[in-house]
Amino acid sequence: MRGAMQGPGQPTHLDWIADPYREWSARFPGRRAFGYFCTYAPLELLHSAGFAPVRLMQSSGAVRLADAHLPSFSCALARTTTERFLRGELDFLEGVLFAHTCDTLQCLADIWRMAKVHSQVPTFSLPTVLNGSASRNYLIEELRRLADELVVRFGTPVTENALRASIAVYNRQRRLLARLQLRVAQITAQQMWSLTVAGMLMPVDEHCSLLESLLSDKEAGKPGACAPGILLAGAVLDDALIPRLVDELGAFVAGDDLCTGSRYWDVLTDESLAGFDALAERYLRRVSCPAKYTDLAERAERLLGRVRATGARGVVFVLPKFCDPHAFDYVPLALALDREGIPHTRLETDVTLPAAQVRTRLQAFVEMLRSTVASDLNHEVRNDDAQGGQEDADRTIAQTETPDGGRVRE
Amino acid sequence: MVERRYKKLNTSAELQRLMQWYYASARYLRVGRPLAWLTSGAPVEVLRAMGVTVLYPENYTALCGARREGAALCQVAEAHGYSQDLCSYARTDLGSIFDGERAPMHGLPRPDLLIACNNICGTVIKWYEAVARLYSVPLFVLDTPFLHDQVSESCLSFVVAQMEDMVRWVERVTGRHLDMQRLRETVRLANETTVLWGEIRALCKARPSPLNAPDLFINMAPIVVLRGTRSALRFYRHLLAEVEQRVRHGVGAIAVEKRRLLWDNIAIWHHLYRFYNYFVDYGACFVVDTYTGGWSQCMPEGDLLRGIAEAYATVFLNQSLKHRSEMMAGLMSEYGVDGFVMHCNRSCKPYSLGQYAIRREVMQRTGLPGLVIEADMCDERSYAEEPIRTRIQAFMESLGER
Amino acid sequence: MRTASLSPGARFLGVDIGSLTVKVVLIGSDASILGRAVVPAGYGGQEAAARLVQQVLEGAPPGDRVAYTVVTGYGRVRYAAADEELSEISCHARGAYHLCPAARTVIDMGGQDSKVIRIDAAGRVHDFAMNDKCAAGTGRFLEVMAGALGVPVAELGDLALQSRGALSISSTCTVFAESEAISHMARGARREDVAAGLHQAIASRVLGLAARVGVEPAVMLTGGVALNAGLVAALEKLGACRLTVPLDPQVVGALGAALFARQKGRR
Repeated sequence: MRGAMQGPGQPTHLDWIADPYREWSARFPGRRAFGYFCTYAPLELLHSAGFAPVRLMQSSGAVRLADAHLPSFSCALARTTTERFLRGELDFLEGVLFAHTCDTLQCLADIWRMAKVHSQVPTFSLPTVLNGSASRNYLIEELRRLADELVVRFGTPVTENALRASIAVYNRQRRLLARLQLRVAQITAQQMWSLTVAGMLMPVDEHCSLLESLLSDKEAGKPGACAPGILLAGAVLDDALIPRLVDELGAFVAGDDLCTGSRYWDVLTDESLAGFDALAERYLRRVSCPAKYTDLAERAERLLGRVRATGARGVVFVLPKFCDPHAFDYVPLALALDREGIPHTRLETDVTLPAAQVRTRLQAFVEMLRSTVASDLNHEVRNDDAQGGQEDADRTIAQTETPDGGRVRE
Repeated sequence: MVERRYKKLNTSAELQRLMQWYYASARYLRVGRPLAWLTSGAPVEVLRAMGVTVLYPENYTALCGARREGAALCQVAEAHGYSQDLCSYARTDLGSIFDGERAPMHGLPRPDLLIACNNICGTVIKWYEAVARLYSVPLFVLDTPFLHDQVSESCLSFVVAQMEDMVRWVERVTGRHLDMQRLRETVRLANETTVLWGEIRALCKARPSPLNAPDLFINMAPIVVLRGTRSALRFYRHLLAEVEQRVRHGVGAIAVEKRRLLWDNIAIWHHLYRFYNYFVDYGACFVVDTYTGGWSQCMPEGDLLRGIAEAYATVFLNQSLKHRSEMMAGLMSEYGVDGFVMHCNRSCKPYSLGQYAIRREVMQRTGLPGLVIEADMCDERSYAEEPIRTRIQAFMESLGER
Repeated sequence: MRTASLSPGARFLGVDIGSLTVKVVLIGSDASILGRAVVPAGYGGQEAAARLVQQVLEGAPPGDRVAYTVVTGYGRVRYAAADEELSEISCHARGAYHLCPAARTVIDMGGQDSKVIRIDAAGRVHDFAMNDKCAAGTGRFLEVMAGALGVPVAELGDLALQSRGALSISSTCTVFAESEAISHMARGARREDVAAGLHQAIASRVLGLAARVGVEPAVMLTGGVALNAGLVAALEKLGACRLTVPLDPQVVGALGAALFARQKGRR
C-alpha cells in the first residue's frame, strides 16, 4: 500500500501497513503466516490449523516480472501480487489459499502453481451459486476437504474445539470492527481505514487487543453537521489515498460497502452450530460480493440500506480496472441510486493511483454535494447576476438560437 | 470484399441455409413454445427434450462481430454504463437489447427464460443477470466448480443436484414436463453429432489438411446451437462426406501447405478471413485448434443426468492450465504441427490470462515455437493491423528457418 | 437572505493552472471581465501563473486590490497565493452557466483531459464524467495527429472541413490511431480525408464519455480544442446536436473561478 504513512493523526504503530509483507515475521515472531486473497477464504479454518491468515493486497512499485506471466488486461491485484510472488517477497508465507471468486484469480492460482512448482497453493472451490439447494452440503464437504488437505500438506489437524475457538475469535474481531464504525466522528477516515485493514494483515488476536484498547477510551458521537457524509462502495480499498483525501476535503466517510470494510465484518458466525456447519452458514448468508450469485436485487438493496442507515449524502464507487464482476454490478447499483436521487461518482483504480486526478474527482464530487446544501447561496448569486446582467443573459440566450450555429457573444 | 484464399466447401450453402433456418424458426416458427437463451456450455439436451426453443447469444454476437457490427453495439452498451473492458460478447448482446434497430436481424427475440452455466467463465453469469433485469425474466444459474485438480465425487454430486433443480425449474417456468425417454434420445443424437464432428476434425491430420481454421470456426456453429437435433446430424454427415472426399483426393484447404499450425482461443471474428490470409501467404494452414474441440465430449449413457453433469462439468475451459497445456501438446503431436498461434483475447480472461504460462509449458514439452497475438474476438476497435502483421511475419520467417 | 453589497471597484481573480496552459480572468463587482490572458504553463505552472496574474493586473483598468482569488486546474493545490481552490468541474460549470444559463451540458476538451458536466437549471453540478487516463479525445491527440499530417495544429480543423469523405480510424488508442493515419497517408490518401477521420474518432470518443452522464441541450463546448471548427462540425454531426461555443472557450474555467471568488469574496 502506498499512502498509509501520510496524513496527520495516523496511529504510528500501524505505519507498517504501507509495506505490510516486509519483515512480517520479525514483526510477528513465532506466527505461521498463510496468505489469502478474498473474504470468502475460511480464515477461521486456517486459524484453527495454527496459521495466521495474511491478506494479499495490491501494492505499489513497478510491475516487471509479472508481465511475463499475465497479459495487460489483468487487474492490479493480480499483477502486483504476482510481482511480489515472483520476487520472493511472499516467501514468508507457508502457503497461499485461493478461494474461488473471479475468473482472474481462478487463472492466477494455476499460473502461480506453474511458475513456482514447489510453492504451496491450495485452492478452495466454494460454490458460486450460494442459494442453491445443494450449495450448503457442497460447501461443507469442500471445507472438510480443505481441512484434510491442510493436514496432508502441513500436518496441522483441525479439531472441532480449535475450530470453534477460532470462530469465536473472528467474531470478536467483527464485533470490534462494527463498534469502531460508530466512532466515525472521533477518528479520521484514514485512521478508520488503517485500523480496519490492519486487521487483515496481522494476527487476529493482536488486532482485537489493539481495537479493544482504542475503543475503551473513546465515546461515540455525531459528526459535524456541515460535512457531507460519503459512502465508499466497491471492492478492495488497499490504499490510504482516498480516505485521506476525504479527510482533507472536509467530508467524512459515513460508511462503506467494501470488501475490505463492512463486507468483511458484517454478519457473525453462529457459534451455536458445529464448526463446519457454522462456517458454511456464514459464507452462504453473509453479504455477498459481485462474484457470487444469490439473487438479482440483493446488492442494490444492501447499498441503499447502507446509505440510509449511515445518512450518507452520496456514494463514491471505488472500482479496480479490469474487475469484471464489479464493473457489471456498477450499472444496476448506479440505477438504483439514480432512482432514489442519491448522487454518486466512480473512481477507477489501477496499478498506479494518480493522486492529482483522484483528488480532482473527489473534490468535484464533494463540491457537488456541498452545493446541494448551500443552494441558497447559488440562488442568491443567480439573482444578483440577473439584476446586473439580465440583458446580457437575454442576449446570450437569444444568440444561441441564431441560425449560424449559436456562437455566444459575451 | 475480402477474398477467401482457401478452398470453399460445397456444403457451405447448406450450412448457411441451416443457420438462417435456426434464427428464423426461433423468431417465427415457435408456435407457442417457450424460448430460452442459453450459454454455449449449458446442458441444452434437457431443453430440447422438453421442446423448448433455444437461442445462443454467443453465436449471435459472433455473427455481429463477423459483420463488423460489434463495436457499434458495444458503444451502445458503454453509453449505458458498461465498461469498455468487459467481454465484447456481453457488450454486443446488451447493446443489441438496448438498441435493437441498429443490430443485425434487429437483435434476438425476447427470451422467456435464461440459463447460464459458468463452466466457460464467470462473466456469463453477470451478463445473464443483466439480461434478466432488462427483460424481467427468470434466470437459472448452473454452477460447475472450477477444476484445479481432478473432478471430485463431491463436485459431481453438487452439479447433479443442480441438474435436478434445473429440470424442476424449467418444468415450473414453462409448464412442460421432461420425459426421460425423450432425454435419452436427445442425448444419443447429441453424442452421435459430437462423434461426427470429432471425426471431421480428425481428418485434418491428413497432409495436406482438408480444412483451415476459418472452416472449423464457421462449421462448428451447428454443434453449438443445434446439438441434439436431426438437422445438425444430417449436416455433419454431409460435411464429413465432403471432407473425406477431399482427403481421398489429396485436396488441401490451401493451395500449397508448407507449414501446419495450431490455433488457440476464440476466432478474431471481425477479421476472420483477412487475418488467416496472412498465414496463407506463407503456406501455413491451421489444422487444429483448441476451441472447436470444446464440443467433442460425449455424455456417458446410463444415469442420464449424471452423465450430462460430468460432460458439462469437465469441459476444457473448466480445467486447470496444466490440463490445457497437456491437451494442447497432445493435439500438436497428433496433428503434426510446426508451431502454434495464441489469440490473446481481451474479452476472455479464462481463456487468455493463462496463455503465457501455457505457452511456456507447451514450448518446453514440444520444442515448437508459439506466437501470441493480442486482439479481441468481437470488438474491432481492439485490433492493430500493423503490429499484428509484423509479428506474423517475424514468426513465419523464423519458422521458415527451421 | 441578502448579503452585504460590494463596493463598485471590487475585483476578483480566477486562475486556472492547466497542464498545458495557464488562464487568468479578472472580473469586477458586476461580473464584467476586466482582463484575461492565456500562456503556456511551462514547468509546473506556478511561476507562469504568478507572472500572468501580474500581467493581467497591470493591463487592467485601475481599481481596488483584488478582494478574493480562486484557483483551479491541475496545478491548483500548490498555488499558495489563492484564497481558495476549487475543482475545475465546479469552475467550468459556473463559467459555462454564466455565459449561457440555458446550458445543461458542458463538454470541456482540455490539453490532457476531457470532461463532461451536467448542470441543472440553477447552474449546480448534477453529474460529471472525466477522461484523464488517455490522450484520445484531448488536445494532445490533435497535436500528435497534426504532427503526423505535417500541418500546424491550428489548421487541422479547417483541413478536415475540406474533406470529401472521412477515412475511418477505428483504434481507440492514440498511438495506434496515429499509426492508422500514417498507413492511410502511405497509401496515398488525401490529408483532408485523414484529418476528417481523426476528427470523427475524437468526436466519437468524447461523445462516448458524454453518454455516461447523458447529453441534454443546450450543449456548450469549452476548452482550447473548441476553437477547432472541424471538431465542432464532427461533434455536431455525430452527436446530432447543436453546440454552443463561446468566443473565448479557453478561459471558461478561469471565469468560473473568478465568479466563485466574487460570490465568496462578498461575505
